Amino acid sequence: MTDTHLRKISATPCCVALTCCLIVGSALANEKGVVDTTLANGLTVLLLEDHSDPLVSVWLDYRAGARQESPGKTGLAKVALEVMKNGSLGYRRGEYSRLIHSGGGETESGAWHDGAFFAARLPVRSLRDVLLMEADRMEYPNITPEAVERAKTVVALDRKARLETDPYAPLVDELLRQMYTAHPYGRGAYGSPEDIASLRSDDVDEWLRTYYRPSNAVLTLVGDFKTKETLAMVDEIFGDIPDDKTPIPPVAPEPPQNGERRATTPGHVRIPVFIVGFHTVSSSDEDLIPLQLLAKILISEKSSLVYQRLVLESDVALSTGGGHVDFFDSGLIYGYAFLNRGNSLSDAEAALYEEIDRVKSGSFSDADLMIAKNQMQMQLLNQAAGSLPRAGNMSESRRVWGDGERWLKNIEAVQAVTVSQIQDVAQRYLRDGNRTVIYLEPGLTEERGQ
Amino acid sequence: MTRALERVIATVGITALLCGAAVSDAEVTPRVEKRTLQSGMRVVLLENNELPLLQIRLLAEAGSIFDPDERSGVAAVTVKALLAGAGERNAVQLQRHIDSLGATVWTEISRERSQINGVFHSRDALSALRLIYDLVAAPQLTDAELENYIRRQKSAVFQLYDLGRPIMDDAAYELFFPGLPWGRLPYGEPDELSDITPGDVRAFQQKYYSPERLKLVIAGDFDSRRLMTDVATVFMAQSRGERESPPAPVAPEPSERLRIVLLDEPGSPSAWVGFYALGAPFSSAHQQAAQRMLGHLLGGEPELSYIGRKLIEERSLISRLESATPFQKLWGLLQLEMSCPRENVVDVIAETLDELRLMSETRISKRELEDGKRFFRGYYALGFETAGSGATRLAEALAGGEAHNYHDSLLQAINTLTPDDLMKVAADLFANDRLAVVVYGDADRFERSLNEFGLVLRKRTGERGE
Repeated sequence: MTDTHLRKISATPCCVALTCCLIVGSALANEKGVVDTTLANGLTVLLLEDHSDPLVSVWLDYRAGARQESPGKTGLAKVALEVMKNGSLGYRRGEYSRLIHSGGGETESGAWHDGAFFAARLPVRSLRDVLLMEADRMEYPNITPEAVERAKTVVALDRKARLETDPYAPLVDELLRQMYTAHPYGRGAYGSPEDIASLRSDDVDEWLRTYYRPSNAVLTLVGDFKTKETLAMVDEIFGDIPDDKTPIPPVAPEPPQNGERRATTPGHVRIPVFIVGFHTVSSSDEDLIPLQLLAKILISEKSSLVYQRLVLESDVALSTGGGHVDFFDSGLIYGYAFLNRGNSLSDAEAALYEEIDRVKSGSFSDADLMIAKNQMQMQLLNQAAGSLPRAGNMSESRRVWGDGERWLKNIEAVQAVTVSQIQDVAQRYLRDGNRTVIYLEPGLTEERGQ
Repeated sequence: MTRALERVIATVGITALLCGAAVSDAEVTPRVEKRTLQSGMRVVLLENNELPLLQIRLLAEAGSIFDPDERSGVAAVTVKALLAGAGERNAVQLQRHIDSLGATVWTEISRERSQINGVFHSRDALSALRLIYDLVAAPQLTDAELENYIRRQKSAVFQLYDLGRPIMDDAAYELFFPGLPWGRLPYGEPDELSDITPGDVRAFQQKYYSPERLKLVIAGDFDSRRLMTDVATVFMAQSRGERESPPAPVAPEPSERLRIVLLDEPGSPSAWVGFYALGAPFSSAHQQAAQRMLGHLLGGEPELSYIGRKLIEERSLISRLESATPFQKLWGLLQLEMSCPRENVVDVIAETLDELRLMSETRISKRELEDGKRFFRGYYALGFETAGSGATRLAEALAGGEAHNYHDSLLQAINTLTPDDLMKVAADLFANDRLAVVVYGDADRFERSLNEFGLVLRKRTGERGE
């Protein structure tokens, strides 16, 4: 198939895609669109009516992730999140789960690099009860020494299980450790066993007082409700939670990387794998979308240059992948390859760089860019499927861009990106001196996860 | 009313809500359009206009139980190789075509079936249908591509050995059905993969991807009547093949003692522990209902389930717990899988066996059972919220050889369950000849201590990468 042919078949769907997605954007936002308001105590509230099912999704974000952890206190974000599950003044431990699960609903929660969240999808009749519980634990979490010890055990076990049961997990941890020498992203989201063991109730108490408060949270509701009444209910339930609005402590910036970094990590594996990462930008930066498209053209998709070269054409790799990690402070673009046995990691790495050079010199077609745009538009559409993911995306969008609908508007921004912009970001970010490479090789006998 | 006061009232209210509300028998499956084409292919369409997306699930009765003798892995290689060029497009062109539509297409293999899945923009419905047709009816399957895929499958198997968890239920099936099709590894034994030829793959595709073995589910944004016409037109050219029934179910050999399979992974500091209970054929809705309820009560939400409360909340022995009851036709399976540090393996097995035993000896309270019923009522209703989850639900029902609205019958059966039913089914399921325990980890660390529980069978998990 020629590039001209591809250009022809790609052009039509792209134009249609733009029209469709704009329609989707407005359909998702309903006639009323996203209602974005801030209560007197600083709590940001996003509401989106969707009457297609008698459901509601609740997403409560706190800007309380591992990026705010101090040296020696790693793992605190996860431990604090676990303590929040210990109930509160008015609710026993487990009551929240019982309410939602016995209605057939689902819950999610997590603390990661940039934040922490509690989310639930439930029958709309239970909305008030869930909001009452969330408000209660925001104001009166049940922080007891037993709860803190139990949370530490849960987090330590989870960390251990992740590192020990996924033999490839150390690869990503090592990449972040090598790339971020000053910023907390380098310490990972799971904390160190020593730090977790040394955490005390006071640490958790201070963390929750600093970060789990209205002005550092975003509450998003999507579902079958009436905005006016629901907003009044939210204000009634959350509006009197006190907040002194003291500024959130700043985070140490990552200095520019000057020179390649490399490491080989012990592998308890049969399949060799390598990963390469390059520092990029904050998730609110205008280079973000060209970088996301660059990742798709280069390595994320099955029609990407690297997948074609290493999997489809040469059979060197079992699979390849990658993408852009949209960190709040400073993200990265990365690519990896799991090799078929008998192939050399260094040869595969060299082939990856040749494909990077092709992108830098503009030796990719308009068709490649069209494909990447179509992929990205579909990705955004898929992220809108279901009220719970939609609530999560609205919340993240509000946090990054100050606009709960911006993530859908990005569909338009994707269309405007040109080949020269892709070339430009490739040249600026995919530099040798900005590169970190990690190998995971079979045959090393050290135990994993240590 | 102050919030503090309302908290107290709410707590009482929630309890009342949980205890008092009756479980409705209303149907959860939305209306669908269904038809069997002249060729024999069954089609089920579910409209969901939330987003301009199409979710496609094509089920083929072409799982690993149909692998030729001593050629395990043929079914797995075949379904993957359908993407190695189809119609007029070679592998690279095909992938670029899929990506240019912004679509995603992926395949799956299990014992009973293989599956092609896709997500497309709804504007591309016709292109999507033609593409799926090409994959099943006109794959290229060239020698060169198939040799690559066969080699690659061997690497893929070693990657599964590295991960551990994906191979655990296979060890249980191997134990229950030694030497039988159900006991084969769905992804293939590395030694046997080397013997597969491109001809084996082409013959398998010819025989097992004929239309009467196919079931097509599409959910998403479309007009059902129009799309059904398009499906019939696109798939019209596919001709019928010969029908071959799956191997008949064979009851597992009786066993006096509990059997524990150790998948030895020297040096692994952590372990996966799985409990696999072989149930009745899928068509027994009552048995299925009981199995699902047992799975939920034992290993559902960690804070609420018996094993979760004991092993996570009280004793912090495990870090992950998941229960599942896969949709398959000939055998139901209730599985409970958990990960733990290797030093906890013995305690985990002892505590879990204790919970399983209690299930067959003690009646659970009516309240707990009613909570469970309410959970399933909501769970299956919420399962049709998006086109993707709706397509998956319908595909599950069809995979079990049932009608599209199987979840409604299942819910009815769940609603009639009594504590005595659960005790009886638990006693059957957790008997020694129906239960297998599989441990993936460094066997030297716990093998001796496991002898007290039953017969220990040790296996290596395949060569290392030296």
